[in-house]
Amino acid sequence: MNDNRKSLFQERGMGVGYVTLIMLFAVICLTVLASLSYQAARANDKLNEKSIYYTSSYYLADGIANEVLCALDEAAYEAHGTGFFSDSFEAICEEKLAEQNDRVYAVTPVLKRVQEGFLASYACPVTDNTEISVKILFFDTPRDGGRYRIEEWKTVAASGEDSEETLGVWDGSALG
Amino acid sequence: MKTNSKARLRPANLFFIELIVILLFFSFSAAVILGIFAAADHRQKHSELVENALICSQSIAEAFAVTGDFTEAAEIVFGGDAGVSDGHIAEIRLDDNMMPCEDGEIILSMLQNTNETEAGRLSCLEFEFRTNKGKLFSPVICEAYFPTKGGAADE
Repeated sequence: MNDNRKSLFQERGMGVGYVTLIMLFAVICLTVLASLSYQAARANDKLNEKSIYYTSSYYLADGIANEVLCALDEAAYEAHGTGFFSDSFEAICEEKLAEQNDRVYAVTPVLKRVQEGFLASYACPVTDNTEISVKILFFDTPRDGGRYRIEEWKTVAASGEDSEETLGVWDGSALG
Repeated sequence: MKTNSKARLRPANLFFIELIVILLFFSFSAAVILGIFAAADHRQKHSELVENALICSQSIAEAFAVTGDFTEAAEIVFGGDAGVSDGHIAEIRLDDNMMPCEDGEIILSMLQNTNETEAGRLSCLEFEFRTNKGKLFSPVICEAYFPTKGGAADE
């Protein structure tokens, strides 16, 4: 009996096919892990690209906003020099902005007459969806040791997008 | 003749033939898979480098917005040993952690332009990070405006 079993084991060896299955399992596992790690690296890379794009765009827009502020402040400085600030500020602003490069000229600040002086409002696009919104108040007569006061300088959703729109979600009322 | 064919068909021999074929297939697969792992590792390291450079660039831009001078901005970001002298152009060698290092592989190039008027001073800083293999990302441009006395009022 024992001799028969021994001979059977010797005849069969370790069994054909088991090693193939183990190897296939190992290769599949390694392939999945490799592709996952590559996907993770690629996703990280894409995220970085987006961050770079946003950062560069943000500082570019911020720079343009600063250039516009510079032009407006120059206009305010000259307008104060004339002695007729209210009458000359708008005209000098147009002149100063026309002297700037195209990307600054394209911003076109809106000047609004207010009690204390002129409120200049403009927006510099950062991306398709965001922009830097700037509001600066230029005083009729310099006060608090300055010609202007920055009222607003913040990144907001682009005005073209309707951010007020609400989603049509279920409000809890009975169905039917 | 009969004895030879019997020996060839023995399961032990079949097992060894299978083992050889599997080893060949496995070594080929392993070569491909290790290549993918290496590519992922390389990409990840490059990604980390870019991320560090991006954080560093934001720090420089913010420091420049406060000071309006890239020498002072570099001192704020890298400390006093940045080795940036006064002027309009500067190059700093950085290591992987974005710290100044003479043998660093990353080069930070900075170029400053200043436009002074009677009303104020507009400073523009353009800087980029590059390695021997090329740019890490496109140059960043930031600007800062500083009015002369009597410019901006206290908020």
